[in-house]
Amino acid sequence: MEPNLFKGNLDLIVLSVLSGGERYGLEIGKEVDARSGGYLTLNAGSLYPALHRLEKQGWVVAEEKQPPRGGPPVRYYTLTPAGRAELQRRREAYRTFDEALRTLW
Amino acid sequence: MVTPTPLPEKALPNEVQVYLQAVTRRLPKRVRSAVAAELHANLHQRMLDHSLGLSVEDAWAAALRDFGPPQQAAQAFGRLYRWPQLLRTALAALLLGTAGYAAARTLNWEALGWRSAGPLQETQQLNRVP
Repeated sequence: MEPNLFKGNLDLIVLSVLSGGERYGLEIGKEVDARSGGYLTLNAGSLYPALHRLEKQGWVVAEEKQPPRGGPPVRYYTLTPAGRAELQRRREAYRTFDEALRTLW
Repeated sequence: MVTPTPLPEKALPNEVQVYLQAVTRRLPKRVRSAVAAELHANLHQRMLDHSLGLSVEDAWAAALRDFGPPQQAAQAFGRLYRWPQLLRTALAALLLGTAGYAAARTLNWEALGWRSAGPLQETQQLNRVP
């Protein structure tokens, strides 16, 4: 995986997973890993700060809840309407960039 | 935004406590316990994933390996929470310094019995020279 591409699209990755409904950090990481066939992996150093940054931006909200398997309460993250709009904007920006780049190949 | 949750630190293995401290040590107090609590809760869930085939001790160790080195998380959280606070502090110090300097310039020091070291005194001294 190209690290710069990953870094530049981390928010898009996390917002995309959260568009499927509320998740806590570990669930997001597992889903990214599973759906990308192991190509994209999120470790704690990138995932949790990204979630806090998205929360600061107002694109996600967090709520502490008891996880189904027990243990300490985890923070479930949900997309806000602003987050959904941001996801849409980023998807379109990515698609436009990708299409423009492919014309040069 | 982030609500601090107290950690049940006594129940945690030492390696987990070391990891959480390494990530949160340099964060502002207002977010430190909340970040630690979130990482702890997710580490616990990861430990449960591994606990099917491993002892609890080994399951915690495997969970910590999955989370990666604490330095990366510490740096990323630091950029998010620590630098804005440092910048705010520096800006506040700069504003206070500027306000203090401006106030000092407007005071009539000689009326208060202090010698002024300002340019006015230097000009008066120059005028006395024949």
